Amino acid sequence: MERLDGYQVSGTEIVFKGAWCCVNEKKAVLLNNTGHIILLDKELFNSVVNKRMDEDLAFKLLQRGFAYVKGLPADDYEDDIDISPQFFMVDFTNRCNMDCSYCLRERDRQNSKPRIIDYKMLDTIADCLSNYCQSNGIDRIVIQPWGGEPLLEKDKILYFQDLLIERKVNAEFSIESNGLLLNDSTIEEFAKRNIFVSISIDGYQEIQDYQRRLVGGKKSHPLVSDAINRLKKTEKEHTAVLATITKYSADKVEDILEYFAVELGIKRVKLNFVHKSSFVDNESLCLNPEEISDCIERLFYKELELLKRGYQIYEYNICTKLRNLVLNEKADICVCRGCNGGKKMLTIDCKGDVYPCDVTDYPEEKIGNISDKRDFIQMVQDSLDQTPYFMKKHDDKCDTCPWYYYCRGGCTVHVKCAGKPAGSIDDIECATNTVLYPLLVKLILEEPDIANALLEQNALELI
Amino acid sequence: MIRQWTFSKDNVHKYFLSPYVFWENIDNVIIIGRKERNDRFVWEYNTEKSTAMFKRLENGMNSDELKKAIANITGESDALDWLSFFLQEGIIE
Repeated sequence: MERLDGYQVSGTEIVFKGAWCCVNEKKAVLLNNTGHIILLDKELFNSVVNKRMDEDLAFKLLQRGFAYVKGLPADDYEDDIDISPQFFMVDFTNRCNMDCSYCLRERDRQNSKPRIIDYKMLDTIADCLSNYCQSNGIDRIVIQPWGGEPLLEKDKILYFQDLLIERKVNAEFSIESNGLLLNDSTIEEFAKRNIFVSISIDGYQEIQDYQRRLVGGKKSHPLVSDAINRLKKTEKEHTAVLATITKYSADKVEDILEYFAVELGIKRVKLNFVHKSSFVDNESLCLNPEEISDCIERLFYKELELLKRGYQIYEYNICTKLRNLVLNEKADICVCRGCNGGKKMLTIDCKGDVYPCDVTDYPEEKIGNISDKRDFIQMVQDSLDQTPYFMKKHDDKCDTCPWYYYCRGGCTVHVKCAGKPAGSIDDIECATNTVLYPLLVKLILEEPDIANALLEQNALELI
Repeated sequence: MIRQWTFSKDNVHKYFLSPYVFWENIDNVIIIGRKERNDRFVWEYNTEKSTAMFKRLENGMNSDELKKAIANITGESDALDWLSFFLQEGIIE
Protein backbone atom coordinates (compact mmCIF):
# COMPACT_ATOMS: atom_id res chain seq x y z
CA MET A 1 0.00 0.00 0.00
CA GLU A 2 1.27 3.45 -0.93
CA ARG A 3 0.62 6.53 1.17
CA LEU A 4 -1.14 9.56 -0.38
CA ASP A 5 -0.61 12.83 1.47
CA GLY A 6 -3.50 15.11 2.41
CA TYR A 7 -4.34 18.59 1.13
CA GLN A 8 -7.12 21.16 1.00
CA VAL A 9 -9.41 20.61 -1.98
CA SER A 10 -9.15 23.58 -4.30
CA GLY A 11 -12.07 26.02 -4.13
CA THR A 12 -13.66 24.27 -1.15
CA GLU A 13 -13.36 24.13 2.63
CA ILE A 14 -12.85 20.39 2.40
CA VAL A 15 -9.52 18.93 3.49
CA PHE A 16 -8.49 15.53 2.18
CA LYS A 17 -6.77 13.74 5.09
CA GLY A 18 -4.60 11.47 2.96
CA ALA A 19 -5.03 7.72 2.59
CA TRP A 20 -3.41 4.39 1.91
CA CYS A 21 -3.93 3.24 -1.64
CA CYS A 22 -3.51 0.26 -3.90
CA VAL A 23 -3.89 0.77 -7.65
CA ASN A 24 -4.10 -1.38 -10.75
CA GLU A 25 -4.52 -0.31 -14.37
CA LYS A 26 -8.26 0.30 -14.01
CA LYS A 27 -9.04 1.31 -10.46
CA ALA A 28 -7.84 2.01 -6.94
CA VAL A 29 -8.73 1.14 -3.37
CA LEU A 30 -8.22 3.89 -0.81
CA LEU A 31 -8.14 3.05 2.89
CA ASN A 32 -8.27 5.46 5.81
CA ASN A 33 -7.46 5.24 9.51
CA THR A 34 -11.07 4.66 10.57
CA GLY A 35 -11.39 1.39 8.68
CA HIS A 36 -13.26 2.67 5.64
CA ILE A 37 -12.39 2.11 2.02
CA ILE A 38 -13.50 3.75 -1.19
CA LEU A 39 -13.17 2.36 -4.71
CA LEU A 40 -12.36 4.82 -7.50
CA ASP A 41 -11.81 4.32 -11.19
CA LYS A 42 -8.45 5.41 -12.53
CA GLU A 43 -9.73 8.77 -13.74
CA LEU A 44 -11.12 9.79 -10.35
CA PHE A 45 -8.11 8.37 -8.58
CA ASN A 46 -5.83 10.49 -10.75
CA SER A 47 -7.90 13.54 -9.87
CA VAL A 48 -7.17 12.80 -6.19
CA VAL A 49 -3.46 12.34 -6.85
CA ASN A 50 -3.29 15.50 -8.98
CA LYS A 51 -5.27 17.53 -6.44
CA ARG A 52 -8.01 18.21 -8.97
CA MET A 53 -10.95 16.40 -7.49
CA ASP A 54 -14.38 17.90 -8.01
CA GLU A 55 -16.97 18.63 -5.33
CA ASP A 56 -18.91 15.42 -5.87
CA LEU A 57 -15.85 13.30 -5.18
CA ALA A 58 -14.80 15.54 -2.27
CA PHE A 59 -18.25 14.98 -0.78
CA LYS A 60 -17.92 11.20 -1.14
CA LEU A 61 -14.52 11.33 0.57
CA LEU A 62 -16.00 13.46 3.32
CA GLN A 63 -18.80 10.95 3.87
CA ARG A 64 -16.36 8.05 4.12
CA GLY A 65 -14.11 9.85 6.61
CA PHE A 66 -11.29 10.55 4.15
CA ALA A 67 -11.81 14.30 4.48
CA TYR A 68 -13.16 16.90 6.86
CA VAL A 69 -14.53 20.42 6.61
CA LYS A 70 -12.02 23.03 7.66
CA GLY A 71 -12.91 24.52 11.02
CA LEU A 72 -15.06 21.54 12.02
CA PRO A 73 -13.68 18.67 14.08
CA ALA A 74 -12.19 15.95 11.89
CA ASP A 75 -13.95 12.61 12.25
CA ASP A 76 -10.91 10.86 13.67
CA TYR A 77 -12.69 8.94 16.35
CA GLU A 78 -11.19 5.68 17.38
CA ASP A 79 -14.32 3.67 17.81
CA ASP A 80 -13.26 1.89 20.96
CA ILE A 81 -15.28 -1.20 21.56
CA ASP A 82 -17.95 -0.44 24.13
CA ILE A 83 -18.16 -2.78 27.10
CA SER A 84 -21.10 -5.08 26.60
CA PRO A 85 -20.18 -8.75 27.02
CA GLN A 86 -22.53 -10.97 25.05
CA PHE A 87 -20.36 -14.03 24.43
CA PHE A 88 -19.81 -16.20 27.49
CA MET A 89 -17.50 -19.17 27.70
CA VAL A 90 -18.35 -21.43 30.60
CA ASP A 91 -15.52 -23.69 31.71
CA PHE A 92 -17.35 -26.96 32.31
CA THR A 93 -14.26 -29.09 32.84
CA ASN A 94 -10.56 -29.24 32.20
CA ARG A 95 -10.83 -32.99 31.57
CA CYS A 96 -10.26 -34.26 28.08
CA ASN A 97 -10.34 -37.59 26.28
CA MET A 98 -7.64 -36.50 23.87
CA ASP A 99 -4.01 -35.67 24.36
CA CYS A 100 -3.10 -33.08 21.75
CA SER A 101 0.53 -32.26 21.31
CA TYR A 102 -0.04 -28.52 21.67
CA CYS A 103 -2.75 -28.51 24.38
CA LEU A 104 -3.11 -25.09 25.97
CA ARG A 105 -4.92 -26.14 29.16
CA GLU A 106 -3.26 -26.71 32.49
CA ARG A 107 -3.81 -30.40 33.06
CA ASP A 108 -1.59 -32.42 35.31
CA ARG A 109 -2.42 -35.66 33.57
CA GLN A 110 -1.09 -37.86 36.36
CA ASN A 111 -1.84 -36.32 39.70
CA SER A 112 -4.20 -33.42 40.02
CA LYS A 113 -7.92 -33.66 40.62
CA PRO A 114 -9.87 -32.58 37.54
CA ARG A 115 -11.85 -29.37 37.76
CA ILE A 116 -15.51 -29.92 36.91
CA ILE A 117 -18.38 -27.51 37.25
CA ASP A 118 -21.26 -28.57 39.54
CA TYR A 119 -25.01 -28.16 39.20
CA LYS A 120 -25.24 -25.62 42.00
CA MET A 121 -22.73 -23.36 40.28
CA LEU A 122 -24.70 -23.63 37.03
CA ASP A 123 -27.82 -22.45 38.89
CA THR A 124 -25.88 -19.44 40.18
CA ILE A 125 -24.41 -18.62 36.76
CA ALA A 126 -27.86 -18.87 35.14
CA ASP A 127 -29.29 -16.43 37.72
CA CYS A 128 -26.38 -14.09 37.20
CA LEU A 129 -26.73 -14.12 33.40
CA SER A 130 -30.48 -13.63 33.65
CA ASN A 131 -30.07 -10.58 35.91
CA TYR A 132 -27.33 -9.22 33.66
CA CYS A 133 -29.42 -9.52 30.50
CA GLN A 134 -32.51 -8.03 32.13
CA SER A 135 -30.79 -5.09 33.74
CA ASN A 136 -28.84 -4.21 30.59
CA GLY A 137 -31.57 -4.83 28.02
CA ILE A 138 -29.53 -7.54 26.30
CA ASP A 139 -31.84 -9.63 24.16
CA ARG A 140 -29.41 -12.30 22.98
CA ILE A 141 -26.23 -13.89 24.27
CA VAL A 142 -24.02 -16.72 23.06
CA ILE A 143 -22.90 -19.45 25.43
CA GLN A 144 -19.91 -21.57 24.61
CA PRO A 145 -19.59 -24.55 26.94
CA TRP A 146 -15.84 -24.96 27.09
CA GLY A 147 -13.24 -27.41 28.32
CA GLY A 148 -11.15 -29.67 28.07
CA GLU A 149 -13.70 -31.60 26.13
CA PRO A 150 -17.06 -30.00 26.99
CA LEU A 151 -19.12 -33.00 25.90
CA LEU A 152 -17.72 -34.97 28.84
CA GLU A 153 -20.22 -32.84 30.77
CA LYS A 154 -23.02 -33.09 28.24
CA ASP A 155 -25.78 -33.57 30.82
CA LYS A 156 -24.72 -30.41 32.61
CA ILE A 157 -24.71 -28.49 29.34
CA LEU A 158 -28.31 -29.53 28.70
CA TYR A 159 -29.24 -28.73 32.29
CA PHE A 160 -27.68 -25.28 31.93
CA GLN A 161 -29.55 -24.62 28.71
CA ASP A 162 -32.82 -25.56 30.45
CA LEU A 163 -32.02 -23.16 33.29
CA LEU A 164 -31.56 -20.29 30.85
CA ILE A 165 -34.74 -21.18 28.97
CA GLU A 166 -36.66 -21.19 32.29
CA ARG A 167 -35.27 -17.73 32.98
CA LYS A 168 -36.24 -16.56 29.49
CA VAL A 169 -32.64 -15.81 28.53
CA ASN A 170 -32.27 -15.94 24.76
CA ALA A 171 -29.00 -17.89 24.63
CA GLU A 172 -27.51 -19.47 21.54
CA PHE A 173 -25.34 -22.47 22.41
CA SER A 174 -22.23 -23.14 20.39
CA ILE A 175 -19.75 -25.88 21.25
CA GLU A 176 -16.28 -26.65 19.96
CA SER A 177 -15.75 -30.37 20.45
CA ASN A 178 -13.23 -33.02 19.50
CA GLY A 179 -16.18 -35.05 18.25
CA LEU A 180 -15.39 -38.29 20.08
CA LEU A 181 -18.64 -38.31 22.06
CA LEU A 182 -20.89 -37.21 19.24
CA ASN A 183 -23.07 -40.27 18.80
CA ASP A 184 -26.30 -40.18 16.81
CA SER A 185 -28.54 -39.57 19.80
CA THR A 186 -26.42 -36.63 20.97
CA ILE A 187 -26.41 -35.13 17.48
CA GLU A 188 -30.18 -35.52 17.29
CA GLU A 189 -30.70 -33.99 20.72
CA PHE A 190 -28.45 -31.04 19.95
CA ALA A 191 -30.26 -30.46 16.66
CA LYS A 192 -33.62 -30.39 18.49
CA ARG A 193 -32.22 -27.91 20.99
CA ASN A 194 -30.47 -25.74 18.37
CA ILE A 195 -27.10 -26.41 19.93
CA PHE A 196 -24.48 -25.87 17.25
CA VAL A 197 -21.36 -28.01 17.33
CA SER A 198 -18.14 -27.47 15.42
CA ILE A 199 -15.43 -30.09 15.43
CA SER A 200 -11.71 -29.78 15.87
CA ILE A 201 -9.78 -31.73 13.28
CA ASP A 202 -6.32 -30.73 12.12
CA GLY A 203 -6.42 -32.31 8.68
CA TYR A 204 -6.25 -35.67 6.96
CA GLN A 205 -5.28 -38.84 8.78
CA GLU A 206 -1.52 -38.35 8.95
CA ILE A 207 -1.79 -34.86 10.40
CA GLN A 208 -4.68 -35.50 12.75
CA ASP A 209 -3.06 -38.62 14.17
CA TYR A 210 0.25 -36.85 14.63
CA GLN A 211 -1.16 -33.81 16.41
CA ARG A 212 -4.34 -35.03 18.06
CA ARG A 213 -4.14 -38.48 19.62
CA LEU A 214 -6.47 -40.11 22.11
CA VAL A 215 -5.43 -40.32 25.73
CA GLY A 216 -3.28 -43.46 25.69
CA GLY A 217 -1.85 -42.65 22.28
CA LYS A 218 -4.33 -44.27 19.91
CA LYS A 219 -5.25 -42.65 16.60
CA SER A 220 -8.23 -40.34 16.56
CA HIS A 221 -8.79 -39.66 12.86
CA PRO A 222 -11.18 -42.52 12.06
CA LEU A 223 -13.44 -41.60 15.00
CA VAL A 224 -13.40 -37.85 14.36
CA SER A 225 -13.96 -38.03 10.60
CA ASP A 226 -16.83 -40.43 11.25
CA ALA A 227 -18.33 -37.92 13.71
CA ILE A 228 -18.08 -35.16 11.12
CA ASN A 229 -19.86 -37.26 8.52
CA ARG A 230 -22.66 -38.02 10.98
CA LEU A 231 -22.92 -34.39 12.04
CA LYS A 232 -23.22 -33.32 8.40
CA LYS A 233 -26.51 -35.22 8.17
CA THR A 234 -28.15 -32.74 10.55
CA GLU A 235 -26.05 -29.56 10.36
CA LYS A 236 -25.61 -29.98 6.59
CA GLU A 237 -23.82 -27.04 4.99
CA HIS A 238 -23.44 -25.36 8.38
CA THR A 239 -21.08 -28.05 9.61
CA ALA A 240 -17.87 -26.36 10.60
CA VAL A 241 -14.43 -27.59 11.48
CA LEU A 242 -11.55 -25.98 13.32
CA ALA A 243 -7.96 -26.83 12.56
CA THR A 244 -4.78 -25.90 14.34
CA ILE A 245 -1.81 -25.26 12.11
CA THR A 246 1.58 -26.18 13.50
CA LYS A 247 5.11 -26.30 12.20
CA TYR A 248 4.39 -29.92 11.30
CA SER A 249 1.30 -29.18 9.23
CA ALA A 250 2.00 -25.68 7.84
CA ASP A 251 3.66 -26.83 4.63
CA LYS A 252 0.65 -29.07 3.95
CA VAL A 253 -1.99 -26.36 4.43
CA GLU A 254 -3.14 -26.59 0.81
CA ASP A 255 -3.65 -30.35 1.15
CA ILE A 256 -5.52 -29.81 4.41
CA LEU A 257 -7.95 -27.35 2.83
CA GLU A 258 -8.35 -29.65 -0.18
CA TYR A 259 -9.16 -32.50 2.19
CA PHE A 260 -11.80 -30.48 4.03
CA ALA A 261 -13.43 -29.32 0.80
CA VAL A 262 -13.21 -32.42 -1.36
CA GLU A 263 -13.04 -35.41 0.99
CA LEU A 264 -15.13 -34.14 3.89
CA GLY A 265 -17.36 -31.81 1.87
CA ILE A 266 -17.06 -29.10 4.52
CA LYS A 267 -17.91 -25.51 3.67
CA ARG A 268 -16.95 -23.70 6.84
CA VAL A 269 -13.47 -23.99 8.27
CA LYS A 270 -11.38 -21.99 10.67
CA LEU A 271 -7.65 -22.40 10.72
CA ASN A 272 -5.70 -21.12 13.71
CA PHE A 273 -1.99 -21.07 14.28
CA VAL A 274 -0.82 -22.83 17.39
CA HIS A 275 0.62 -20.48 19.97
CA LYS A 276 3.00 -21.13 22.77
CA SER A 277 1.55 -22.82 25.83
CA SER A 278 2.41 -21.94 29.41
CA PHE A 279 1.82 -25.53 30.49
CA VAL A 280 3.32 -27.87 27.90
CA ASP A 281 6.48 -27.54 25.89
CA ASN A 282 5.00 -26.96 22.43
CA GLU A 283 7.50 -24.43 21.19
CA SER A 284 8.81 -26.77 18.51
CA LEU A 285 5.32 -26.75 16.96
CA CYS A 286 4.98 -22.94 16.85
CA LEU A 287 5.68 -21.07 13.64
CA ASN A 288 7.75 -17.93 13.39
CA PRO A 289 6.21 -14.81 11.77
CA GLU A 290 7.81 -15.51 8.37
CA GLU A 291 6.41 -19.05 8.35
CA ILE A 292 2.98 -17.73 9.34
CA SER A 293 3.01 -15.15 6.55
CA ASP A 294 4.03 -17.78 4.01
CA CYS A 295 1.34 -20.17 5.21
CA ILE A 296 -1.37 -17.49 5.11
CA GLU A 297 -0.48 -16.60 1.54
CA ARG A 298 -0.63 -20.23 0.41
CA LEU A 299 -3.89 -20.74 2.29
CA PHE A 300 -5.38 -17.67 0.60
CA TYR A 301 -4.50 -18.82 -2.92
CA LYS A 302 -5.73 -22.34 -2.17
CA GLU A 303 -9.04 -20.90 -0.96
CA LEU A 304 -9.39 -19.01 -4.25
CA GLU A 305 -8.46 -22.08 -6.27
CA LEU A 306 -11.09 -24.20 -4.53
CA LEU A 307 -13.77 -21.55 -5.04
CA LYS A 308 -12.90 -21.37 -8.73
CA ARG A 309 -13.12 -25.16 -8.97
CA GLY A 310 -16.66 -24.91 -7.60
CA TYR A 311 -16.05 -25.94 -3.99
CA GLN A 312 -17.87 -23.57 -1.68
CA ILE A 313 -15.41 -23.55 1.16
CA TYR A 314 -15.04 -20.48 3.33
CA GLU A 315 -12.12 -20.02 5.67
CA TYR A 316 -13.30 -17.97 8.61
CA ASN A 317 -10.31 -15.66 9.02
CA ILE A 318 -10.24 -14.80 5.33
CA CYS A 319 -13.98 -14.11 5.27
CA THR A 320 -14.10 -12.02 8.45
CA LYS A 321 -11.12 -9.90 7.44
CA LEU A 322 -12.68 -9.29 4.05
CA ARG A 323 -15.89 -8.23 5.78
CA ASN A 324 -13.82 -5.97 8.04
CA LEU A 325 -12.32 -4.36 5.00
CA VAL A 326 -15.38 -4.01 2.79
CA LEU A 327 -18.14 -3.56 5.36
CA ASN A 328 -16.23 -2.34 8.43
CA GLU A 329 -17.99 -5.05 10.36
CA LYS A 330 -16.97 -6.18 13.80
CA ALA A 331 -17.69 -9.66 12.57
CA ASP A 332 -15.38 -11.57 14.87
CA ILE A 333 -16.09 -11.68 18.59
CA CYS A 334 -12.46 -12.35 19.35
CA VAL A 335 -10.01 -10.00 17.63
CA CYS A 336 -11.81 -7.62 15.30
CA ARG A 337 -10.37 -4.18 16.18
CA GLY A 338 -7.90 -5.91 18.47
CA CYS A 339 -8.72 -8.01 21.50
CA ASN A 340 -12.37 -7.96 22.58
CA GLY A 341 -11.67 -9.91 25.77
CA GLY A 342 -13.80 -8.54 28.59
CA LYS A 343 -15.52 -6.05 26.34
CA LYS A 344 -17.50 -8.50 24.24
CA MET A 345 -16.63 -11.85 25.79
CA LEU A 346 -16.11 -13.29 29.25
CA THR A 347 -15.25 -16.68 30.66
CA ILE A 348 -16.69 -18.10 33.87
CA ASP A 349 -14.96 -21.02 35.55
CA CYS A 350 -16.22 -23.80 37.82
CA LYS A 351 -15.70 -21.63 40.92
CA GLY A 352 -17.67 -18.75 39.44
CA ASP A 353 -14.54 -16.71 38.84
CA VAL A 354 -14.80 -14.37 35.87
CA TYR A 355 -12.02 -13.84 33.32
CA PRO A 356 -11.81 -11.61 30.23
CA CYS A 357 -11.05 -14.57 27.94
CA ASP A 358 -10.18 -18.28 28.05
CA VAL A 359 -7.48 -17.68 30.67
CA THR A 360 -9.06 -19.55 33.56
CA ASP A 361 -5.76 -21.33 34.17
CA TYR A 362 -4.14 -17.98 34.99
CA PRO A 363 -5.51 -16.81 38.39
CA GLU A 364 -3.82 -13.42 38.00
CA GLU A 365 -6.22 -12.62 35.11
CA LYS A 366 -9.37 -13.02 37.23
CA ILE A 367 -11.49 -9.86 37.22
CA GLY A 368 -14.21 -10.91 39.65
CA ASN A 369 -16.61 -13.60 40.77
CA ILE A 370 -20.28 -14.03 39.96
CA SER A 371 -21.05 -13.75 43.68
CA ASP A 372 -19.69 -10.16 43.63
CA LYS A 373 -22.32 -7.49 43.87
CA ARG A 374 -21.16 -6.02 40.58
CA ASP A 375 -22.50 -6.83 37.17
CA PHE A 376 -20.19 -7.91 34.38
CA ILE A 377 -19.88 -4.45 32.85
CA GLN A 378 -18.84 -2.96 36.19
CA MET A 379 -16.35 -5.79 36.71
CA VAL A 380 -14.66 -5.04 33.39
CA GLN A 381 -14.76 -1.28 33.94
CA ASP A 382 -13.12 -1.72 37.36
CA SER A 383 -10.36 -3.79 35.78
CA LEU A 384 -9.51 -1.63 32.77
CA ASP A 385 -6.86 0.42 34.53
CA GLN A 386 -5.88 -2.23 37.06
CA THR A 387 -5.14 -5.29 34.97
CA PRO A 388 -2.28 -5.65 32.47
CA TYR A 389 -4.68 -7.69 30.31
CA PHE A 390 -6.38 -4.51 29.09
CA MET A 391 -3.21 -2.55 28.37
CA LYS A 392 -3.13 -1.03 24.90
CA LYS A 393 -0.82 -2.98 22.60
CA HIS A 394 1.59 -1.07 20.43
CA ASP A 395 4.87 -1.30 18.60
CA ASP A 396 6.68 1.41 16.65
CA LYS A 397 5.86 -0.36 13.40
CA CYS A 398 2.13 0.03 14.17
CA ASP A 399 2.47 3.80 13.54
CA THR A 400 2.95 3.25 9.83
CA CYS A 401 0.89 0.11 9.43
CA PRO A 402 -2.25 0.52 7.26
CA TRP A 403 -3.92 -2.34 9.10
CA TYR A 404 -3.56 -1.05 12.65
CA TYR A 405 -7.20 0.02 12.79
CA TYR A 406 -8.25 -3.62 12.39
CA CYS A 407 -5.39 -5.24 14.29
CA ARG A 408 -4.59 -3.02 17.27
CA GLY A 409 -1.90 -5.37 18.40
CA GLY A 410 -3.92 -8.58 18.14
CA CYS A 411 -4.66 -11.21 20.75
CA THR A 412 -3.76 -10.59 24.39
CA VAL A 413 -3.56 -14.29 25.19
CA HIS A 414 -1.04 -14.86 22.39
CA VAL A 415 1.12 -12.09 23.85
CA LYS A 416 0.85 -13.50 27.35
CA CYS A 417 1.63 -17.07 26.34
CA ALA A 418 4.58 -15.91 24.24
CA GLY A 419 6.05 -14.52 27.47
CA LYS A 420 6.14 -10.97 26.11
CA PRO A 421 5.47 -7.98 28.39
CA ALA A 422 1.90 -6.68 28.57
CA GLY A 423 1.37 -4.05 25.90
CA SER A 424 3.50 -5.91 23.34
CA ILE A 425 1.93 -6.86 20.04
CA ASP A 426 0.82 -10.33 19.01
CA ASP A 427 3.28 -11.58 16.40
CA ILE A 428 0.84 -14.13 15.00
CA GLU A 429 -1.87 -11.57 14.26
CA CYS A 430 0.69 -9.08 12.94
CA ALA A 431 2.15 -11.67 10.55
CA THR A 432 -1.35 -12.64 9.44
CA ASN A 433 -2.71 -9.14 8.92
CA THR A 434 0.29 -7.74 7.09
CA VAL A 435 -0.05 -10.47 4.49
CA LEU A 436 -3.76 -11.21 4.35
CA TYR A 437 -5.14 -7.66 4.15
CA PRO A 438 -3.00 -6.68 1.12
CA LEU A 439 -4.05 -9.91 -0.60
CA LEU A 440 -7.69 -9.06 0.09
CA VAL A 441 -7.29 -5.54 -1.28
CA LYS A 442 -5.77 -7.02 -4.42
CA LEU A 443 -8.68 -9.45 -4.62
CA ILE A 444 -11.19 -6.59 -4.43
CA LEU A 445 -9.38 -4.88 -7.31
CA GLU A 446 -8.60 -7.86 -9.52
CA GLU A 447 -11.30 -10.43 -8.82
CA PRO A 448 -14.38 -8.74 -7.36
CA ASP A 449 -16.56 -11.75 -8.24
CA ILE A 450 -14.51 -13.97 -5.96
CA ALA A 451 -14.55 -11.29 -3.27
CA ASN A 452 -18.33 -11.17 -3.58
CA ALA A 453 -18.52 -14.95 -3.29
CA LEU A 454 -16.60 -14.75 -0.02
CA LEU A 455 -18.78 -11.90 1.26
CA GLU A 456 -22.00 -13.75 0.54
CA GLN A 457 -21.10 -16.33 3.14
CA ASN A 458 -22.40 -15.56 6.61
CA ALA A 459 -19.16 -15.64 8.58
CA LEU A 460 -20.73 -14.51 11.84
CA GLU A 461 -21.72 -17.85 13.26
CA LEU A 462 -18.45 -19.71 13.45
CA ILE A 463 -16.82 -18.32 16.56
CA MET B 1 -27.71 -6.37 -0.96
CA ILE B 2 -24.97 -4.11 0.38
CA ARG B 3 -22.84 -2.68 -2.38
CA GLN B 4 -19.40 -1.09 -2.47
CA TRP B 5 -19.49 0.80 -5.74
CA THR B 6 -16.48 1.81 -7.76
CA PHE B 7 -16.98 5.53 -8.28
CA SER B 8 -16.41 7.05 -11.69
CA LYS B 9 -17.46 10.25 -13.44
CA ASP B 10 -20.70 8.50 -14.39
CA ASN B 11 -21.91 7.86 -10.86
CA VAL B 12 -19.95 10.02 -8.42
CA HIS B 13 -22.69 12.65 -8.48
CA LYS B 14 -25.32 10.10 -7.42
CA TYR B 15 -26.47 9.32 -3.90
CA PHE B 16 -26.08 5.78 -2.60
CA LEU B 17 -26.93 3.84 0.49
CA SER B 18 -23.68 3.64 2.43
CA PRO B 19 -22.07 0.19 2.35
CA TYR B 20 -21.58 0.56 6.10
CA VAL B 21 -25.31 0.66 6.76
CA PHE B 22 -27.68 -2.06 7.78
CA TRP B 23 -31.41 -1.77 7.38
CA GLU B 24 -34.14 -4.30 7.93
CA ASN B 25 -37.90 -4.46 8.02
CA ILE B 26 -38.97 -5.87 11.38
CA ASP B 27 -42.73 -6.19 11.88
CA ASN B 28 -43.43 -3.40 9.44
CA VAL B 29 -40.94 -1.02 11.00
CA ILE B 30 -37.63 -0.24 9.33
CA ILE B 31 -34.55 -0.22 11.57
CA ILE B 32 -31.51 1.58 10.18
CA GLY B 33 -28.03 2.11 11.54
CA ARG B 34 -24.32 2.13 10.85
CA LYS B 35 -22.66 -1.24 11.34
CA GLU B 36 -19.53 0.07 12.98
CA ARG B 37 -21.46 2.07 15.55
CA ASN B 38 -24.03 0.83 18.01
CA ASP B 39 -26.61 3.48 17.17
CA ARG B 40 -29.69 2.58 15.21
CA PHE B 41 -32.95 4.35 14.65
CA VAL B 42 -36.49 3.50 13.76
CA TRP B 43 -37.91 4.79 10.48
CA GLU B 44 -41.62 4.75 11.08
CA TYR B 45 -42.89 5.76 7.66
CA ASN B 46 -44.61 3.59 5.08
CA THR B 47 -42.48 0.46 4.88
CA GLU B 48 -43.43 -0.49 1.34
CA LYS B 49 -42.45 2.86 -0.15
CA SER B 50 -39.39 3.11 2.11
CA THR B 51 -38.17 -0.35 1.15
CA ALA B 52 -38.50 0.58 -2.50
CA MET B 53 -36.48 3.76 -1.90
CA PHE B 54 -33.69 1.98 -0.01
CA LYS B 55 -33.48 -0.63 -2.74
CA ARG B 56 -33.19 2.11 -5.37
CA LEU B 57 -30.49 3.77 -3.27
CA GLU B 58 -28.45 0.59 -3.43
CA ASN B 59 -28.04 1.35 -7.13
CA GLY B 60 -27.78 5.14 -6.83
CA MET B 61 -30.22 8.02 -7.30
CA ASN B 62 -29.64 11.55 -8.46
CA SER B 63 -30.45 14.49 -6.22
CA ASP B 64 -33.91 15.24 -7.63
CA GLU B 65 -34.98 11.61 -7.63
CA LEU B 66 -33.91 11.24 -4.02
CA LYS B 67 -35.65 14.40 -2.78
CA LYS B 68 -38.82 13.36 -4.59
CA ALA B 69 -38.66 9.83 -3.18
CA ILE B 70 -38.22 11.08 0.40
CA ALA B 71 -40.98 13.66 0.00
CA ASN B 72 -43.25 10.93 -1.31
CA ILE B 73 -42.74 9.06 1.94
CA THR B 74 -42.45 11.77 4.61
CA GLY B 75 -44.38 14.58 3.00
CA GLU B 76 -42.90 17.67 1.34
CA SER B 77 -42.33 19.66 4.54
CA ASP B 78 -40.11 17.07 6.28
CA ALA B 79 -38.20 15.84 3.24
CA LEU B 80 -35.19 18.14 3.39
CA ASP B 81 -34.74 17.62 7.12
CA TRP B 82 -34.70 13.89 6.60
CA LEU B 83 -32.28 14.15 3.71
CA SER B 84 -29.90 16.21 5.88
CA PHE B 85 -30.26 13.70 8.67
CA PHE B 86 -29.45 10.76 6.39
CA LEU B 87 -26.39 12.54 5.04
CA GLN B 88 -25.13 13.64 8.44
CA GLU B 89 -25.51 10.18 9.89
CA GLY B 90 -23.71 8.57 6.98
CA ILE B 91 -26.75 6.53 5.93
CA ILE B 92 -26.79 8.02 2.47
CA GLU B 93 -23.65 9.25 0.77
